[in-house]
Amino acid sequence: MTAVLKITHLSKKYGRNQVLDGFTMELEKGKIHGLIGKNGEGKTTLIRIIMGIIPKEKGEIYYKGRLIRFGDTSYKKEIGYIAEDSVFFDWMTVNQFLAFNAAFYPRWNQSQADAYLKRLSLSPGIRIKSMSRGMKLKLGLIAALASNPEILLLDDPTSGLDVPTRQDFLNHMIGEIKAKGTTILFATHMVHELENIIQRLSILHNGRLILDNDYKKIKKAQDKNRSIEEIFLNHVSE
Amino acid sequence: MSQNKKLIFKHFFIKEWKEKSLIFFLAVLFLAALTGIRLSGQDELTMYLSGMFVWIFLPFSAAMIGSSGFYHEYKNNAWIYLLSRPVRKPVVWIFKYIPQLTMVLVIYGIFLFVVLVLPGFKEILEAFSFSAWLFHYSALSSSLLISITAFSLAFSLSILHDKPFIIFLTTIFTGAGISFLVNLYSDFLYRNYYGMNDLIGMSYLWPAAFILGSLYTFSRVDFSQSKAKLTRFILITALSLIAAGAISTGLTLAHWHFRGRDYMYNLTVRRNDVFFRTKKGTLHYDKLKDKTTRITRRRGRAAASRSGDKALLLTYDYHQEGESRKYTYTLKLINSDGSEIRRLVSTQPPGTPFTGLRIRNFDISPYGQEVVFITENPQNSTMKLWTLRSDGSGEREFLPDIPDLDRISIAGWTSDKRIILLAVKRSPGQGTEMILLSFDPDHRTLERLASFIRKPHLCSVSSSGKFAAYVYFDPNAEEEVLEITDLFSGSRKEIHRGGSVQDIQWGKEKDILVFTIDANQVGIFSLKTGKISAFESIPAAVLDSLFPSLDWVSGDQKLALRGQDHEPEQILIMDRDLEVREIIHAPSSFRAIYSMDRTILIYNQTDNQLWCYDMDKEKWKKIY
Repeated sequence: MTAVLKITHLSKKYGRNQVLDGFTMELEKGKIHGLIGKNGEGKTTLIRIIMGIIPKEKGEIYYKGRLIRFGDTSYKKEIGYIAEDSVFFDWMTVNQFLAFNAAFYPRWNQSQADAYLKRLSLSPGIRIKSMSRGMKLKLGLIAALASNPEILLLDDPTSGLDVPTRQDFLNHMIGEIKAKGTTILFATHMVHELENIIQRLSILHNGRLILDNDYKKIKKAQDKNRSIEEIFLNHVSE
Repeated sequence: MSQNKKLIFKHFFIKEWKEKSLIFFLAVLFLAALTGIRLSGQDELTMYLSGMFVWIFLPFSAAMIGSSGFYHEYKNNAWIYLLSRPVRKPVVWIFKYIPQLTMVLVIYGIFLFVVLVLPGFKEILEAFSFSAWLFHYSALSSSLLISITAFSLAFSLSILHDKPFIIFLTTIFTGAGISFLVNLYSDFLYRNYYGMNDLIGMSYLWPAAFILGSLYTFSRVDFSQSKAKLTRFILITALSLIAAGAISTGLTLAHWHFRGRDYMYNLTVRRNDVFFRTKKGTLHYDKLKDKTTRITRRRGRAAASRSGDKALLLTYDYHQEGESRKYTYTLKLINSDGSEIRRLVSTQPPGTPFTGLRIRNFDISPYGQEVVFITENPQNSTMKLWTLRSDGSGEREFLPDIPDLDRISIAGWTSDKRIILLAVKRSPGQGTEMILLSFDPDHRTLERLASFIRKPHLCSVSSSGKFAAYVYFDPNAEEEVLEITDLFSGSRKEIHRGGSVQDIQWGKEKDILVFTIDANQVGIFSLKTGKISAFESIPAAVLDSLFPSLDWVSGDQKLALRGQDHEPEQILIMDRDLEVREIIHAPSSFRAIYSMDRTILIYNQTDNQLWCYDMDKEKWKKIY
């Protein structure tokens, strides 16, 4: 297995609340990883630590074998990130935002961004403040993908989306991204959404990974007809 | 900066300007209104609004821009987006700070442009300049410094809260509080280290402490944890403030020790000699030898004969006895090189008429043959006048019979060796009165020459010893009068009435008097014609009532005046018709000007420097 991102013994607490406690995980190149856990279990915290937004307390993160320290930035050029609640500067238009975002990424592909705008039916002149949540998700996705990332981190991207947009995202877009060889970490508490798209499943509970394996193997080891929700419930209630 | 960074900065620049454009346009609108009012010629309203702009609107606008420094990140919850970009967090902070600071600077720049372009505007603004501790603070530069400080403070705080109004109020109170504490601390140091100036660099260091606290918090602390953010900000800022205080104190004390404390006192200028005192002792500059030597390590001051070849040196020292200081004084006649001719008086040895007395004032006659000094008995405050010949013989004392006498000083000598004195009377209920007296040492008589004297430092005797010039207050007209008295006939001649007499200087050789009135009026009175030969307003002149701002040069044919109140300062050389003939650029700013005929001396009171300019060689030299 080629680990493009490796996290070892990661710990983080807020006050007395230990959110992550010796968390260890690897992301395999080119695969879609599902990270599930209940609300407040630390999925968002984990992704924010990976993105260098907040500091960790203990543990190491390696990107392509290189140790990442808090404050490092170069690795971020190769990571796309869609936050739980994708919000940007609302006075900007789509084009203004993409131009602002492009400045951070040397590998930015404007023609790809334009193609995604057409593909996702987003008007370049529309202001962000007049966009729906689904449209903002699409914009975030374009911003992340046009930088040609090695890894795409998705933090509960579908919560609050209307059904058609969610279906489009899950059934088509994720597949298209994977087809480019991008490694995806899809963190969500809506576990059922991952049923047909992930290749590896990790369950976060009480700050640790309690399950981390190839999804097919998990299914094989358990009752084939068991849904991902049932697998999740089975593990977190043990 | 790399191409990538330049591009990021460009986008930040556009973003920040667009987000804060409302405040900017409000400021421009205010400036447009101000320009309109100025153009319509409404001076009073222009003055009112200009004052409001420099002291209130500009600093407050700067604080408002800074207060909303991170407002849009809070409002749009765009922290996650911004902090997850591949750029270092301090860079994000700085790339937001600089564009917003430029906005403050552009508003200021537009205002400055308007001020410089519209006639008379700069002069109106000068009314808002102020002086403190002999330093001049221009309204324009002070307002800019305050605005940048207010902006930096507000911007630094803006990472802590989403409501700009809260940040704005916090900025005002924090800024006022810190300024108050800095002043308090500065006062404390000043009281303990006499002669120390303001805390060096503190005006810049304390806002920098907030910038450091903000930068660290923004870069290293989990932004989502408000309490942790605030705690860490306070901790880092407090430590930085302590460090700022320590650095500033260190710099100030070092400056005070090596330069600041080394003040010059008791400057006496004669034709070829300059005497002055520093902490190193009493020094003498000999123009002919172009050399400065220390004539004694002791504290002292000198009075020199007109030629300067003989000087009277008063040295004094003290020791603490309980809560009071016991002084000992020694009066010596010295050569101009400092070599002692003879010791005339000492108050230390017991059993002499001078034992225990304080020597308050002293002088040597123009040709160096007679000496006069005034003593005070610390027990009963009795003042006595002593005269003796410079060879030490003929010592005589005189107890002036002047009711309510508080103190006496020596104004000069007449050509027949009488001494012109200035006596200050202080009586309960009647206040203070100064009178001009003539003392005849041979006949031991005192004669009153004039009453209601004002500005005692201006009272002086002409070089011929025939006339005395002084300023007195006419109680009937309630105005100042510059007057000359003939010291032989007793006749009085009114030279100028009204306004404020700033300075007077007798010619070095001739009976000619130059005087200055108010800010820039200069007059020349000739005893030969008995008339004012010239009286002009010299706008380029900077006249001062505390320090001499003009003197005669080139055998009393020309005048040297202090000109232009900002660096590089100038010396204006004028003929007797008060036409400026030459401008000499000074090597430093200066407060006082003296002449040694063809050599001009300037005294930089701020930096304790003494420079001389040789008019023949056209060269400057730093004496001290």
